Amino acid sequence: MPKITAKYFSNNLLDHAARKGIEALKYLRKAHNFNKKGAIRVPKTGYRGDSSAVYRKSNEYLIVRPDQYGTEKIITYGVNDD
Amino acid sequence: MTEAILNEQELTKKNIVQLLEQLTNVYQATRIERQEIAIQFPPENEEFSLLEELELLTVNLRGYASQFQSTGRIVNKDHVIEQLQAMRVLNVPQIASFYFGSNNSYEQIKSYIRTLDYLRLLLLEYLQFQSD
Repeated sequence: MPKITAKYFSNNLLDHAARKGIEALKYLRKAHNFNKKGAIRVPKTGYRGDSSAVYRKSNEYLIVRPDQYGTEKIITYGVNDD
Repeated sequence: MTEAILNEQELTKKNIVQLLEQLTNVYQATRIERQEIAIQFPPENEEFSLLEELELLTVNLRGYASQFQSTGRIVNKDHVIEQLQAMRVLNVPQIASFYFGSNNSYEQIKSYIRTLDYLRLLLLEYLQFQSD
């Protein structure tokens, strides 16, 4: 998987926002405001073979992956019916 | 000969950049189908849903392509080749079952899936060319 660096993150943020037709800062805010508390996590603990996990809450989801230090980083944020 | 190879690499490069734009348009055109899919193929508790799998693939492949678009290269080439080879779109059970199971429907999303896999193959071709 692409290595998560600051440059990768900013490039991707702009790319995802453009693809989803949403202003970049608004997209960033929505992703960061996603409240993991009470969300369903798949897998429940740890990560899948590709190092990813998803949090789901109502119609929103957040896909995450740990960085090299084991800190969970946001890979993408989405709304299922958008 | 060398010039021909360079041109071919240049063409693949242009193709990748163009495909990235095309994918954005195709993705945006799938909105209604995605809304239907969210209802027809809801997430199951222990698995990623179809839309989540598609989003993850999109992010991974676009991540490499965007890196390539902005810097003209992809770092850690050998590792990326391995990753791209393992990232066959139809190897994802949810995507394969949807792709082959829903005949004559969701054609926009199916087209998106094919374009995504084409991007993967182009990236692979470009990187493998470089490693020769």
